[in-house]
Formats: sequence, C-alpha cells, structure tokens
Amino acid sequence: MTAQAPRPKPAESMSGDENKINPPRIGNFHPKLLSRSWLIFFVAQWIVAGLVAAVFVLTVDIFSLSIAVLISVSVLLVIESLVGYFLLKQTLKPIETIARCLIYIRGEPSNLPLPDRDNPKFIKSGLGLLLNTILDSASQNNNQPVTDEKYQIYRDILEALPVGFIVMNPERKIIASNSLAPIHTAPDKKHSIQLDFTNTNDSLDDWLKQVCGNEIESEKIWSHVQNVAPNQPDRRVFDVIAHYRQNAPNGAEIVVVTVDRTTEYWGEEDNADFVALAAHELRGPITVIRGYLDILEQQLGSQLTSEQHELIDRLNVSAKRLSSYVNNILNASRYDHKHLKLQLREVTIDSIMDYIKDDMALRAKTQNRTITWQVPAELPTVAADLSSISEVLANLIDNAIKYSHDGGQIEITARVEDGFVAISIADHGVGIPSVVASNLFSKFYRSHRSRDTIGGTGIGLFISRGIIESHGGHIGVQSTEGEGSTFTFTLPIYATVADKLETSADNESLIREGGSWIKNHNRLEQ
Amino acid sequence: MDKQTDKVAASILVIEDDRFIGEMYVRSLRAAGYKVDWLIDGGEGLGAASSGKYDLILLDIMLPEKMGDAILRELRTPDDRIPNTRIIVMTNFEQDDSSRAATEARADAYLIKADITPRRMLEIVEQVLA
Repeated sequence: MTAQAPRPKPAESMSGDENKINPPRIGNFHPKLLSRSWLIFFVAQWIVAGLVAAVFVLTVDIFSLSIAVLISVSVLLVIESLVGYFLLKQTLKPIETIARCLIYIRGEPSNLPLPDRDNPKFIKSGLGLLLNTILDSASQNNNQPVTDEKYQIYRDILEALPVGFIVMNPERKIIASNSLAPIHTAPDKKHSIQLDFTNTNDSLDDWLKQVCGNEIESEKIWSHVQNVAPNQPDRRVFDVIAHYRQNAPNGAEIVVVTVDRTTEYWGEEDNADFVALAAHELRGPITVIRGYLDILEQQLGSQLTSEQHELIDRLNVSAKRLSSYVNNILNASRYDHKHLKLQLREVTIDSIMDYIKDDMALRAKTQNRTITWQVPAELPTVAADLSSISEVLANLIDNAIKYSHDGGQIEITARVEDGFVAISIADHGVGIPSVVASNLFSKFYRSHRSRDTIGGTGIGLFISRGIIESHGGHIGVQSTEGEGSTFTFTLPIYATVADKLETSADNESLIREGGSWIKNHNRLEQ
Repeated sequence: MDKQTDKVAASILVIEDDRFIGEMYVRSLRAAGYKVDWLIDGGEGLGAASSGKYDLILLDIMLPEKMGDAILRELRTPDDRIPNTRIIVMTNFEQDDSSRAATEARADAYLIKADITPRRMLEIVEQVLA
C-alpha cells in the first residue's frame, strides 16, 4: 500500500461504535507500535531505575561509595539484560505475527498456526487490516489458498483424490501429502517416501539427482514399484509419476503421484501363476512318458520290429508335441501379461533349422509327410531367440503337416528380403479361404472346417505372431483354398540391429536350450 | 570341486517328490554308474545336501516341506556352504523373473524336466561334473 492509494474502504462489518471512534487504518499501525513500545520502555526503565536506586541506598551504608556504585551498576546491567529481552519480545510481537503470515503464504513448513486476524487487539492496532491486506493480495496474486476455509477445501480435494500425492521442496523434505501417499514415519517423526525402486532401472532419488538444478522441468514414470520388500506385510504395488519444476511457487518443486495398482498387477500375476501351476501339473506326466519311452527304446531297441519302432516314434512325437503345446500356453500367457522375454542374439538360419530338424522329420514321417529344406548357404545371420523361433517354426510345420494331404510334401525355404531374412513354410494341402486368413493369428481362432476335423487349440499361430513381432519381424500367409498355404515370417538381419541389442557377459556364460540352461564354467573360470 | 573325481564314483543326491520321475532319474543315473541317494522331502533334502558329501545335487523346485529355491538359497548364500558340490535345478515349474535370476546366480544348470529325456539328462550331468 502506498500513500497515494485511495482511502481505504471501511469494511461494512466494522461499523460498531468502537470503530467509529477509532477506525482501523494501516496508517495507525506504526505510530501505535511506536507509542506502545515507548510506553513499555518508559515504565520498565523507571522500575529499573527505582530498583537500582534502592540497591544503592542499601549498599552505600554498608560498603564504601565506590563499592556501592560498582554493585549498583552490576545490578543495573543484569536487570537491563533480562528486562531488555522481555521488552524487545513484547515490542516486536507484531513483526512476528506478520512473519508467520508470510511463512504461511510462502508455504514453508511450520508448526505455528496462521495468526487470527480477527483478534480484536489486531483490529484496534491496525495490524488486523495489515494482515488482511497481505493475505488478500497474496491470494489475488498467486491464486494460493489463503484462508483456513479455502485451504481446507484444497486439503479435502487432495484427500478425495484416488491417488497418493506428495509434494517436496528442493531439499527433498515432504511439505505436503495426502493419506494415500506411501509415506513412512520414522520414530523421530521424520517422513520419507516408502517406495522400493530396487527392481527398476533407476530410483526416484537417482532421477532427482539428475534433474534437480539441471533441468527446468522434467517428468518420469515408473511402473510396478512396490512399497516394501517381498515377504513384508501390507505390500502394495504402484505406478509412480514424478514431476520436477525448478523454482516452483511455494518451494513445491517436486510432485510425486502414486497410483495403487495392486489389484490389477497382482490379479494378473495370480492368473499367470495359475498358468504356471497348470503347466507344472501337465509337464509331470509328459516327463514320465518321454522319459520311460527313452528308457524303453534304449533297452528294447534291438528287439523291436519296425512296426513297433514306428509306434514308439509316434509316442515320442506325440509326447514332444504335448510338451510344445504346454510351452505355447506358457508363452501365450507371458505374452498376454507382457512378460515374454526374448534373448536376441546372432544366430544362423541353419542353426534354427538344425535345432528342430530331427524332431520335425520324425513328426512328418509318422504322419506320412516329407519335409524338404532349401536354405541357401550364403544367408546372413539374424537376431533371434533360438528356442522361441524354433517353436514358431515347429508350430508352422505342425500346421502344414496337419492341413496337408497324406503323402504330401512340405517345403521350407529362406531368402533375403529388405534387411530381413524371410522363412517360408509351404504345403499343398486344404488351403485357407481368404475371408478367414486375416483372423488366423488371433488367439483361439480356428476355421469352421478345421474345428470339426482337425485337433488343436488355435493358440500356436497367436503365440507365433507374438514371438515374431517381438523380434521386430512380420508373419503372414498366402493361401488358395484347395491348393495349399504358404506361411512366411521375417527376422531382422543381425547386422542391421546389432548396435541395439544388449550384450550381457552373464548371458554369454549360459548355454541355453529351450527354457533350460547350463552354466558354462569354462568361460566363467577364464 | 575335485575335478579328478572318477565319473563312475561320483555321488549324486536327487531331491524329487514325484515317485515316477524320481525313480526314472535314479534308475538312469545308477545304470550309468553313479552312486545315488534319493530324498522326497525338501527339509530332509536340505539336511543331506548340507553335508557336502555329494558331487552333484539334482534339485526339484516344488517340494514338500521346503521349496527347492529356498534350499538353493540356504546352500549357496551368503557363503557357499557346499562349494565342492554342483547343483542342477530340474523342474517343470516356470519361474518368474526374480526367482529365475536368483537361480541363475546360484545353480549350475536349470532344466525343464519335460524337455529333457534321461539320456540328455545324463549328458548334462556328465558335462556339469566335468
């Protein structure tokens, strides 16, 4: 407020007799403060002077004059230093009130309440009007909650939000939060954010160290962040959004929003756990069937007739196919839950083919089909997860066997195509009507005709597409009904993506074989 | 580990609760000349495994009393209690990422039983004991 400001509009509420006699004006504040301080000072000095005089009168009769003066001066100094503190505290009280008001506007953490500006003492002295003016202009300028009522509304809104909300100042001290925020209160009453970032690439602290002071504004989102380590009670899982803004008003530079996703994420995990458990149960009998077939074949090998060999082969092929189906289901579940993890590395097309060649040849032979492999020798290497790609190839060959005619031939070919290696599996079987071709790669989709005549779940093509697309390739089909189908998938040429692949020394130390691995101790010990 | 241990004399502990699967592995391992003990219970399995007298342990994950990953954790951390013993985890249970990483840090191999025939298992045992 300046001297030129228009006359203050007297508030309607201040129309009482008292105010008519002594209308509140900020202009009254300083003269009143001065006169009040002077009065207190004046009275106090007289009391002190009286006390010192009494001491002098009492001591001058007992000691010499100089000793009495010395004692009196000492008493004067002691009393003045004590009374001085009290006097200053009293006279500076209005300044403290104004400071509290400003602390509130700045949003600095404080245990002191906002001064009551309706206190009659303040109104009389002009301090009330001064406080009102400061608070109101702060409210207009900063759009900040300035009254208790308005502040309460904001608090209520924050509490009603379905997310946790934490505000920190540049010193990382929590200056505001709501009750959904994962906050830990230590025995010494210190608050800290209770989030465990050990499973994420970088923590909130790491990120804040990077951005604080270095960037004007920045935001980061984390997913699947737990509040406590596993095996501890009240474990929750959150998505976390952190926002940093340099020199934000009221020191609120860091805002962290947490979204509790426990039900969604762990619901998903329960589902995935169920699939893992079901797979475990299915694999038990498969292990026994495959194992004892292996043992029987070893023990009876020489005594078996060729027909019995044929039967053993069929059992082997079926058991192995069953095992592949279980792997398909597990992969599909992982793919659905975005847990499908591929280990992409440099592999040759030959190594992919070799991985399954014997199995597929046996599979084809038991169903009276033949497979021809036409792979040029000079193909570049590709970036692929060997076991997953073998599953894709096995799925496609399996389909080709299923949907071709007795005695039919299946041709596997490979060629280079625009930075990719394309692998095709062609059969001369029943083919696919063009209307259904586009649905083929959906989960559980099987064409009307095949549903009645040929077994299967329809999951193989779904997961094959998932695996190929996770490699950055494409999968498609060309088919003529009654003439056969050609499924083609592409894999990126290793040289085109090598710089994007993560190389890990740890991976190099493991020899992988499908879902299994064996540690390469020779390499580890080098 | 004592790499000079004669393959034929190598002793192996199988901790596997499925009777058919356990019997199948024990039969194949004995036929190949190994000395084999077989335990069904995870608690007893940990006790026997801690003795350190085995060259190799074939450890299932889904076990009664004590799960295989807990046994593995107790055997290998914080100090390796049985540095001269190799451990092959053999399971049909598909682990989540964190337990997979823990197994990779502690075991010498991880095999999906349904994908491995006894013949292949013997080859891997030989490789791990080599």
